[in-house]
Amino acid sequence: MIIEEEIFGIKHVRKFYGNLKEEYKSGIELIIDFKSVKRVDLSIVQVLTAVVRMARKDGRVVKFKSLSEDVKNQMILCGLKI
Amino acid sequence: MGDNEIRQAFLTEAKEIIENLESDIVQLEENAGDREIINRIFRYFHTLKGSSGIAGFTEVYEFSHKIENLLDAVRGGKIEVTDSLIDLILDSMDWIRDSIFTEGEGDAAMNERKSILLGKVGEFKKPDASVEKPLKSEDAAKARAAAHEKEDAANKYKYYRVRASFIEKIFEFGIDPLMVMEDLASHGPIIKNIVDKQNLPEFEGIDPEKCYLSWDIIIKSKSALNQINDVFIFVKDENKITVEDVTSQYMSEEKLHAPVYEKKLGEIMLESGIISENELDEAIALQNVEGKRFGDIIVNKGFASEEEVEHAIKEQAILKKKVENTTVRVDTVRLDNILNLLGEIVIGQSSLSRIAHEMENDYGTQLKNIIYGLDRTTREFQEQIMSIRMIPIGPTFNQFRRFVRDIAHSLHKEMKFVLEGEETELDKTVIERIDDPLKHMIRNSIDHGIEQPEERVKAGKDPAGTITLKAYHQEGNVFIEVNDDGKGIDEERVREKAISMNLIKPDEEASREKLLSFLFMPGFSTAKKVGDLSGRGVGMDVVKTNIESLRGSVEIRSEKGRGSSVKIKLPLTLAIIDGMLTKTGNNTYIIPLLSVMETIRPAREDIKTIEGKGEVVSYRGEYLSLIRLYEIFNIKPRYENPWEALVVIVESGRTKVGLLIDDMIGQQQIVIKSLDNYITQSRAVSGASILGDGKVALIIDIFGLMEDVVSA
Repeated sequence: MIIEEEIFGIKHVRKFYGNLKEEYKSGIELIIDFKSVKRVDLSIVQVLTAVVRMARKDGRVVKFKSLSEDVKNQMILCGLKI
Repeated sequence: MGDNEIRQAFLTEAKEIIENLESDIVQLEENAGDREIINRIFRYFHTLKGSSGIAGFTEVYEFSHKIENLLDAVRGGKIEVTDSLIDLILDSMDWIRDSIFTEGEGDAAMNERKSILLGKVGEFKKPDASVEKPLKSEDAAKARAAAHEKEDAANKYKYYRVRASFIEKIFEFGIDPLMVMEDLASHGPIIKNIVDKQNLPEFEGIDPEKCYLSWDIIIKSKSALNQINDVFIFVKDENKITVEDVTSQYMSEEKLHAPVYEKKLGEIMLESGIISENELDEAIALQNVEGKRFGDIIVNKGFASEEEVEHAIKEQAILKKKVENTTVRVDTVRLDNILNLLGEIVIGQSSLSRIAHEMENDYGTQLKNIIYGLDRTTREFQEQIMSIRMIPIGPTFNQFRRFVRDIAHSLHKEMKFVLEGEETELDKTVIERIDDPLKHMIRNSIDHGIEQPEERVKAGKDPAGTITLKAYHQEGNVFIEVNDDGKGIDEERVREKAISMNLIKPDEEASREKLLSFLFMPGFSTAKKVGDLSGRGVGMDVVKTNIESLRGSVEIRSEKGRGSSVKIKLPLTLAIIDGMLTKTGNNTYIIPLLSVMETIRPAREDIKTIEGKGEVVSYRGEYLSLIRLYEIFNIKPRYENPWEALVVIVESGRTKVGLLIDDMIGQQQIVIKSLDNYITQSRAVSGASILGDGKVALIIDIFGLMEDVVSA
C-alpha cells in the first residue's frame, strides 16, 4: 500500500482504515510505503498501532517502508515500536 | 469527520493565533531580548504549521515549517532580532493570513510573494548573513540574563511529569494531540514515555476519528514550568492535562523544591538574570529583619533598577493570570439562547404572579412569597449570564500594535503605543463593533496629530510621539480614549473650513466645542492634502455613526501644541438597557434612558411651526423639532394636542428633539430582543422587549428615528 499524501491525517484516516482492513483480510503481506509522507497525525498512528497489535496476535507482520525521520519520531512518541 | 468541519475549526483557531502573533511580533520589536515573547511566537508558528497540515493547507504548512525553523534559530541565539527580521516575520504572517483567509493557495502572485519571503529566510540562515546590528542595544538586565542562562545551563535542567489525556472527539476541533506532544518534546529530551493504549479498541472495532491514546511523560528541560504549561494552552480546558515539577525526584543532589505555581518576585528576577543568588539571599535576609518590600530592598541595595523590578512585577502578574486562567469556550449563540429562555421564564413568572394576586386565600400569599424568591433568583441568573458575555478589551487593543507600527513606518514617524486598562470588560458584541472606529481614530492621530520627529524636537518634545489607548469603567458606562501628544487640532483651520462649507457665518462666534463637533460632519476635513491614510473627509462621521449605533457617544478635545483626545462613551452591554416605558395609543414604547433628558408638558404657546423646520417645541430657550410618535407608527393616540400630552426631550449626539407621547409608565431594566427585518425595516426601532405581563413593547432607536425624520 502506497501512501500518496504528504500530510497524512484525519482527512484521510477513514479511507485509509477501510483500505487497510481490506488489505489485511486479503492475507497478503502488509507493506505500507510512506515515501511521500512528511507528517502523520495521531489518528493515523492509532490505526497503525491497532493493526500492528492485531498482526502480532495473528502471527503476521506489518512492514513500514520509506519512513522519514520525522514520521519515525512521531511514531516513537506515540509508543509505536518500529 | 468532514473536511469542512476540520477546515472551519482551523479557521477559527488560525484567526486567534494570527491576532496574538501580530501583537507579539510588534512587542518583540520593542523588547528584542525578551525570550518569553520569542518562545511564544515560535509556538504560535508551530501550532499554525500543525493545524494547517491537518486542515489541508499544504503550502501554509510547509511555509510555516520554514519560519518555525528560522524562529528556532532565533530562540537558540543563532540569529539576532533585527528590524529586517521583524519585517520578515510580519510579512510571513501576512502571507499566511492571505493564503488562509483571502487569496487561497496556489495563486501566482501569492507564489511570487512566497518565493521572495523564502529567499529572505534563506539569507538569514546563512552563517555569515547578519551583519546588521541588533534592533536595540539590549539592556543590562537582558544581557545578564542571556549570560546567566548560558553559564548555568547545565545546572538549570528541570524534570517535569506530564500527564495528558485527551477527549475522544478532539479531532473534531481541528486539534492533533500528537502535534501538542511534539511541541512538548521540543522542550527537551524525554526520559520516560508511557503511552497508555488501553482505551484503543481492537483494530476491527476502532473508530479512526476518535482519540484513544494518552501519555505519561517525564521530560528533562531547561524551560520553566509555565513554558511547559503553555504547550497545552489551547487544549488544557477540555482535556485532562497535568504538569508537575518532579526535579526533586530526579536530581536528589539539588535542593528540593515543591512545584511552583505562583512565582515569587525574587525567583523571577533570579531566573531572568537580574539578580544573583547571593543578592537574592541577602535581600531575603534583609526583608526578614526590616520587613520592607522585596522590590524596595533590591533597588535600595543597587541590585537592580526600579524599571527592572517593575518588569519582574509585571511578569509575576502575567504568570499568576495564566495559572488562574481556567476557562471554557462557549459559543455566544448559546449564551443568547440561554438569555432568551430566561426571558421566557420571566414571562411565565409574571403570569404566575398575576394569578397569585388574584387568589385571595392563603395559597395566594404562599405563591406570592415563592414568586418573590424566584424573582430574585432569575434577576441574579440574568446578571450572571450578562457577565459571561463580558470580555476584556485587551486583545482588541493589542491588535493595534501592528497597525500603529505600520502607519508610523509609512509616515516616517516615531511612535510609542501605550495601553491602559486592558482588563476593562465590555460586551463581546460591542468589542467586535468598535474595532473599525478605533482604527480610524488611531490612524487620524498618527497622520494628522503626531508631528515629524524633527518638528517635535523643535517643539521641545520627545522625537517619538505617544498614542495612548485607554479604557475604564465609570458610572455604569465604559469609556475608551484615544489620546495623542501631537500638535492638536488647528481650530482656526476648522473655522475656515466651516465658513467655506456655510456651517457658520464669517462673523459668527463659535465655541471651541461647536467647532470641534464639525469634525464629525460628513465630508469635513481640514487636511491640506489628501493622503493614502486620511484627509478625505470620510471617517469621523462614520466613527460617530458607528458609535451611536452602539448607543454610545463620542467627543473630541484638543489643545494646540499638546495633543488631542477622542473619548468614546459606550454602554456596558447591548443586551440590556435602562428604559423608560411610555404609552401612546394602546401601545407601549420603550425609550432608552440614556437618551432621555427631560419630560415636559408644554404650554400651548410653546408649540410653533417654523418654516424649514416644521413643528417645534420651545425648550429652555431653543426650538426643538417635535416628533409625533403616533405618526411614525401610524396609530391612533389618546391625545393629539401636545399641551394635553407629554413631550420627552431626547438627545443623540448634539441634536435634541421632542417626542410626543400620551403618557409615561415608569422605568425599568429592559432585555433587548432583536427583530427580524421583515417585521420592521424602520430605523426608528432598535428591537423589542417582552414586558412582565407578556406584552411586547418596541424599543425606540433615537438616533435612527432622528435620521429617519431628517431624511423624510
